[in-house]
Amino acid sequence: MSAPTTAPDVAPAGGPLRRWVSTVLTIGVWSAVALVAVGIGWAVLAGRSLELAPGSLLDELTAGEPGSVVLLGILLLVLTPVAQLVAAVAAFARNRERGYVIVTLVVLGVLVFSLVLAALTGGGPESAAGVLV
Amino acid sequence: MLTALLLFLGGLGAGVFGSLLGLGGGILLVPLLTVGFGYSIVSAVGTSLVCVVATSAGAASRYVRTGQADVRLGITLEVATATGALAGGFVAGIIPERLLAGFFALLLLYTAYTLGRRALAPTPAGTAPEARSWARAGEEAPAYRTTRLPAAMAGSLGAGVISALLGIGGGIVKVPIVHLVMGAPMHVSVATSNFIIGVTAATGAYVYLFRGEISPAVAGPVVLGVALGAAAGARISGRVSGRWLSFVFLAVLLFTAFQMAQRALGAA
Repeated sequence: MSAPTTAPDVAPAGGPLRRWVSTVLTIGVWSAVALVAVGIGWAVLAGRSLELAPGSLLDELTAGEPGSVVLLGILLLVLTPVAQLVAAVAAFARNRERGYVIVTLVVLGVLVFSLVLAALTGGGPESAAGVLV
Repeated sequence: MLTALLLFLGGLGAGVFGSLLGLGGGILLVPLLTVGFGYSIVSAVGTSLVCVVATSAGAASRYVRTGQADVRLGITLEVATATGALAGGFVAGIIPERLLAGFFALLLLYTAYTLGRRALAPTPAGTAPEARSWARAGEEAPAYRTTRLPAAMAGSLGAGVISALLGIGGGIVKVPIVHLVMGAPMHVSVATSNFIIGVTAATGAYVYLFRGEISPAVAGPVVLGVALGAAAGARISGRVSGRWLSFVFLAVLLFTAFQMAQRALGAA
């Protein structure tokens, strides 16, 4: 068997794992894109700026400006990985793959921990996970 | 208005590039935003992290559905990466950054050499007796098998440490680990990396978002471009040969090794 040089041929999605995870990703990214596009479209049509007065995330989201809609889209986007892991946990549980349920919960735990920490401290000090990928 | 259009186009390019190579695109976006547009490094890194999530979600929505991304493999490696990133935060300041950058530059050069050799003379991957499939019993099995999971976990742990300390090392480490260490085809490595780097990047993005360092005027147009570019890149991925992907990736490895060497020598 030689290494394939093109993408492997794959049959349509089997169990729920691929289907659920990809559905969640699709919904997450495209609803985020739609919100960002609406915010930008609003700014362009109304001739308004996308900039927001500096403030907490909550202040910025509720400012009622075009930039608030864009920021809401970005918030939805960065929450998509949480949803994608939740979908994976659900699919693994459905498949009765206990090992993968635990492994995915560990990854989800780290992600939610950093989310809660950032939310509680308003960003706080430079995070250990503030990485550029 | 013109700036927004240019940001959108920059994002579009980064999205195609990132989704094809399994990289977040930060390697392109941070220099573009700082040098090209004059934004601060903090703003550029925050925006770039959000864009990595956009690349990942935009591309992986397709890669996962078609099975090109291996969800089980990706999540398993992510446990080690996340642990390494957390640990990296604690050892920051203990290991001299320049020494680490120098070591990483050498590692990238060696990886480039190995990748080039593999691309020119593909070795039959995953035929070793211990090779395993990540498919569950009863699921249609993919055409590849992987080996050396313990080594790959150790590498992913190191990738997490390096990314916390040097600010790079998501896809650029993960793709070679899955391809060269584990023996999966380049397409699978790229797609699996794409699937999982969104999780790593989101971990970092929350800090910037809640500190109010993500500007809608900058991030909005880039995110829009990146998401569309990534979706397009994932569509054309199947029509690009694995060898071509390897050679472009090799160029990125050399470029990053050069950047790290500069950091090691204190020139950057």
